Amino acid sequence: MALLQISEPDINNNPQRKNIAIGIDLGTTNSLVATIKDGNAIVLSNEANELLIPSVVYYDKDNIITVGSKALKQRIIDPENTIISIKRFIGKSLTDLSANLSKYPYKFSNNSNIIEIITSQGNKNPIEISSEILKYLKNIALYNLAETPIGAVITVPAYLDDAGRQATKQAAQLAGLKVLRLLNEPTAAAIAYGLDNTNEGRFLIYDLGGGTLDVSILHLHKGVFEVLSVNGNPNLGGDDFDYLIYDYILKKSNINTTISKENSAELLNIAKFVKEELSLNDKVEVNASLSNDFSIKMVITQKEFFEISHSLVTTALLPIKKSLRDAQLTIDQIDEIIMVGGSTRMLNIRHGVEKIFHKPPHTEIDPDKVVAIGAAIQADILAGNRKDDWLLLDVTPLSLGIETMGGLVEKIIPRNSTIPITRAQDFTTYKDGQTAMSIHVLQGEREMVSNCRSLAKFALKGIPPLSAGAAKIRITFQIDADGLLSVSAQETTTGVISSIEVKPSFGLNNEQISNMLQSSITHAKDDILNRQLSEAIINAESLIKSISQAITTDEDLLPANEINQIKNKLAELKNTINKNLEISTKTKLIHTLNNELNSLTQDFADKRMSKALVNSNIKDSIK
Amino acid sequence: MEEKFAVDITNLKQIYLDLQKQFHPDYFLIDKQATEFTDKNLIVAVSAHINNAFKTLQNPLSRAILLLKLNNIEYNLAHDTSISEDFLIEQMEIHEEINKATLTNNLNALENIEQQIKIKKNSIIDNITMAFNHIDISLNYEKIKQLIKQLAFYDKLEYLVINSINDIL
Repeated sequence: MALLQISEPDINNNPQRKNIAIGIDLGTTNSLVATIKDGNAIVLSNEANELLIPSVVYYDKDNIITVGSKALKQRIIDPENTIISIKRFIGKSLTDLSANLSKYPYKFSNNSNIIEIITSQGNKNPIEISSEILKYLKNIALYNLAETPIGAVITVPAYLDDAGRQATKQAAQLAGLKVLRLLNEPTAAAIAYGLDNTNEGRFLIYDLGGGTLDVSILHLHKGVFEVLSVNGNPNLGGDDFDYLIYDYILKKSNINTTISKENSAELLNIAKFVKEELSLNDKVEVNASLSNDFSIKMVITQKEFFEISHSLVTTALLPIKKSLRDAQLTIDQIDEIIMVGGSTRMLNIRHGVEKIFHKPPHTEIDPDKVVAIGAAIQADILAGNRKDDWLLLDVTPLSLGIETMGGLVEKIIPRNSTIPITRAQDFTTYKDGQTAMSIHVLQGEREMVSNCRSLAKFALKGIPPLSAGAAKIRITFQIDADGLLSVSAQETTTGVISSIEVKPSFGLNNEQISNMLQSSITHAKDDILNRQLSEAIINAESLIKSISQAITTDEDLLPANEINQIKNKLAELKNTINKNLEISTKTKLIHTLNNELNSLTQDFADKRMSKALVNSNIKDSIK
Repeated sequence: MEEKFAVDITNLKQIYLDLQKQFHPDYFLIDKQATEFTDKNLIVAVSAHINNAFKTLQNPLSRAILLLKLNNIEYNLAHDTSISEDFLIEQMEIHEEINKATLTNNLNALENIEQQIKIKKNSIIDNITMAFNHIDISLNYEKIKQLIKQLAFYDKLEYLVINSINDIL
């Protein structure tokens, strides 16, 4: 298959200027930003020529925020303030993570609504932290393109729920990016491979990352790219293979005692290295001495690795069968198989996929870049730069339901429904004169409320008081093209539109976001003003210090009236420094006084200089 | 499109995609096309409506109910409790088979049941097609309602068996 020939012959194009748009792969470990230049998708690099930007944010004590590889370097020095893998936290509450909290070096605040990490720059939530990464990526785009992009397509895991999607969009908003579309990562990969206009057919995208597995099936046909099914395993990834090797090394070394945290971390790194080596070579030699006299010396062969990981590979291949079932397709109806994600470099995974389909999967595009490239292509389409008007029809990965009697969930919108989608559901009152009711919206495939993800609780108020069962309330659920949910309600018999109160189960509401946005803008302005003031004060204080000293030693050099003039100015400056004034007024005033003092003491300084020269001459002549 | 039960799904799909290529929200992100639809929410609603319409027409059960409605026959599936005892017994037997296979994690048995349900469904759909094809549909209304009810029962069974299969996979 010809790759990335996103050619747009100039003859077919209007000379009108293009709308520059960017695609962002906001990854757990690394993030990338890409765009379309002269018809080709390119990943943009920062000033250090890096394409893969570590998704790391560092908050130092001096109010400076660092992002990327520079931030990553702080991980060993200041782990508490170096935030890595923030994507794992986005759209989650503290209770979601409670089991794993001890794994992280951070201090968490007790805010129950949203996770907050306590840094040296105050409490930071995942939305703010993600927005720093997005700001950095936006700046890379500005640096490369010398133009503000009109918007961005940001990729998200196909299985990300509504809370995570809302949070990602809010982070972009906070970074000052217009979101053209939230795009599922496997869909982005399929676009990167598929949209060269010659490859119609059905694509299966197998995306195995560090911690998650997504399998999507798409149909590319007559200008439409239709997602047929999304399946996967949110708890299986390349990391699980590292743990397998980790256990195997321990077993083979006959180490039964518990090992220290440091040794454990070191051994996990070794395990990861072994896994990566065995994708290239048929054996790898491990020779490492860990602290506390642990030394490991062994050879691990590819065969051994394949044996110990056999059942994990089987598990990792199961979603292929499920996704085929969901799409109501058979194995031979799939035309192309595309491998995405660093973990698909594992040969046993590649062989396993090849064995199922009896044909080799595509691995031509760098699995680290393919998602960003697909996002950039989609951004270019959405910005209206392409003549061919490709349409992408995506699906919602998770079912949407509401709580019914007995803690059960009634599904309203089934998973794999094409979006956007609306579904209206009628409810009625069960008591005479009832004027309010509450609705609990959930996401997930399970039947019990406790096994699904709570999205929001709505309090419906202002229902006209009627006898039980007489009022009919129609609630409309809508999932838009970004996969985001909104809800509206209406009493249908009387036509009264009930007020609806949205209480997101976690995350931030719009008001909080606009406040944060407001405060980040005004804070930036405040920061500049504060810096200017403190610079003026520092200047003033050093002036006061040196002039006061000069007066005590050389008061006799000037006539009394001039000395008094200087002393009065000094007093005025000291007063101004201590006065409570509006920042910019105060800065200006101190500046003026500094200048006045400088010119007022010019004569004094000259005289002192001469005196010093004379003195040194005297000293010299004495010598 | 013709107002009949036997629809050409390929043709239906093409009409659906052509409509989405005109009204999908993606085409209204940037004001490149000046249209009367400036309201972004309205565009989402229109596109969602097209998706819903396609789903309704693609599914034989909802298509049959819609067709009755277009003939001024309101049919409320949930309120229809008339079903033959023989049919109910047959349903319960398949139910039990599914339960047994699910409890023993018998994937083969479940896939067999799934196949049988598909065959049953197809024969009911054929019968509905024939009933709608009658010169005077009104003579067949009751028959169609019965068939719709049966189809709904098999849909439910299919849903159960697919869920069980997905759980085992």
